[in-house]
Amino acid sequence: MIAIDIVGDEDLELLLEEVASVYGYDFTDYSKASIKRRINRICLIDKHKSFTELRYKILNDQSYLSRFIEEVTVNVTEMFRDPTFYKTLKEKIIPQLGVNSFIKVWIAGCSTGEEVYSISILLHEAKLAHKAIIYATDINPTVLETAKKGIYPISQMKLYTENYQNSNGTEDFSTYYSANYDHVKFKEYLRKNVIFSTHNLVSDRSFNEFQLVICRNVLIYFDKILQDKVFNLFDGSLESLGYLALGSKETIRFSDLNLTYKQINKEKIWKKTR
Amino acid sequence: MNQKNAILIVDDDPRNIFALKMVLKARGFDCETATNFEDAHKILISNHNVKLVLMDMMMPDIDGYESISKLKSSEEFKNLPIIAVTAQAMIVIKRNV
Ligand SMILES: C[S@@+](CC[C@H](N)C(=O)[O-])C[C@H]1O[C@@H](n2cnc3c(N)ncnc32)[C@H](O)[C@@H]1O
Repeated sequence: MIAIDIVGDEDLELLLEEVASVYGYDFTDYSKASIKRRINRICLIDKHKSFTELRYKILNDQSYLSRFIEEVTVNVTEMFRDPTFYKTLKEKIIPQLGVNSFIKVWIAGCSTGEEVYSISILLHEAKLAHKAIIYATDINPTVLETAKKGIYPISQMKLYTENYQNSNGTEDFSTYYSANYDHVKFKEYLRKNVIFSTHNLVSDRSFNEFQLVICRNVLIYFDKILQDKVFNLFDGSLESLGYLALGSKETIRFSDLNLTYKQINKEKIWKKTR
Repeated sequence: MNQKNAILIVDDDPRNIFALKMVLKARGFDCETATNFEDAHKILISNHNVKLVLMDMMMPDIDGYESISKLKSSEEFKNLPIIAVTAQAMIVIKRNV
C-alpha cells in the first residue's frame, strides 16, 4: 500500500500552532519531517479521513490530546541501550561522581524508565546509591506511570541481560527483578531514590543543578533552534565539571557548548570544563 | 565538593519554591526542593547535607502537619529542624529581604 500524506506542510504548521496556543504543548520546533510522518501515521491508525477531522478531534477532545502527544513523541527505549556508553559511564564517570557528598543525576526524556533502572543499577553497583538521587522526567505523564511501576515484558529480558553483560556488568542480572508470568518487576530499592516528574524541555525551566545530565534520543526529534535552547537549559542545570550525556546520533559539536565542554572517550559524553 | 549545609524547601506550588529558593540562594544557602512529602523523603534519605526543612503546611495528599509528624516519629529525622511555612509567612519573608 502506498502511504498517502493526509496532512501537508501548511496543515502541519497550523495544527502545531493551535495545539501550542490551546494546550501549551509546543511542538512547532520539532523536526518537521519526523513529526509529519508521525501525524500521518496517527491519521492512518485512527482512521481520520482528512486533516480537518484530525484537527477537530484534537482541539475539541482533551482526552485525545494525550493520544496525540503519545504518538508524536516517539518513546521507544531499552535497558543498557548502547552498552559501550554504559561501560564508559560505569568506568569513567560514575567513580568521578563518587567524590561528591551528594550526587544528583537528571535523566530528561526518560520515557518508560528502562534507562532510569539501568543508571540506578550502576549507582548501586558502585555503592553510591545511598547518597544519590535521580530526577527522571518526561513530557508525557503516561510513560512516567510505567516508569514508576518498573514492570516490563519478560520477553525483553534476554536483550537487556545481553546489553548489561556487554556493558561489563558482572552481577546476575536477574537479581534486579522478580519474574511473574509474562512480566518482570524491578526491585523496589532501585526506585527508592528516584523522583519521577513531568518536565517539558521546550517550555519548562531548569529546576536544579546536577553533576550528570542524561538526555538520550530526544534531541534527534528537535530542530536546530530548539536543540540550542535545550543545550542552554542543560548548561544551566550542570554544576561546573559536570557531565552531559546524549544519544548516539546527537552531538553538542555545532552548538555554543562545544567551546566549554570536552568529549570523553569518543562516547557521547561531555565534561563541562568551567 | 558540595559539603555545604543545605536547606530543603517542600511546597506544592513551584512559584513559592522559586521565590524562596531565590532568596535563600542569594544569601548563600544551598537549596533542595520537593513538591510533595514522598519526594522530600527521598531527598532526605540521600542528601545528608540537609540541616533544615522549610515546609508548606497546605499541600494536597500528605499535608505539612502530617509530613512533620511522620518525620518527627522516625528515628532518622526526629532531630531535624523543620520550619512551617504558610502563604502568609511567605509574605513576611519577602518583606524582610
Ligand atoms: C525515543 S525516547 C528516548 C528514551 C530514552 N531516553 C532512551 O534513550 O532510551 C524519547 C522521549 O522523549 C520524550 N520527549 C519528547 N519531547 C519532549 C519534551 N519536549 N520534553 C521532555 N521529554 C520529551 C518523549 O516523551 C519520549 O519518552
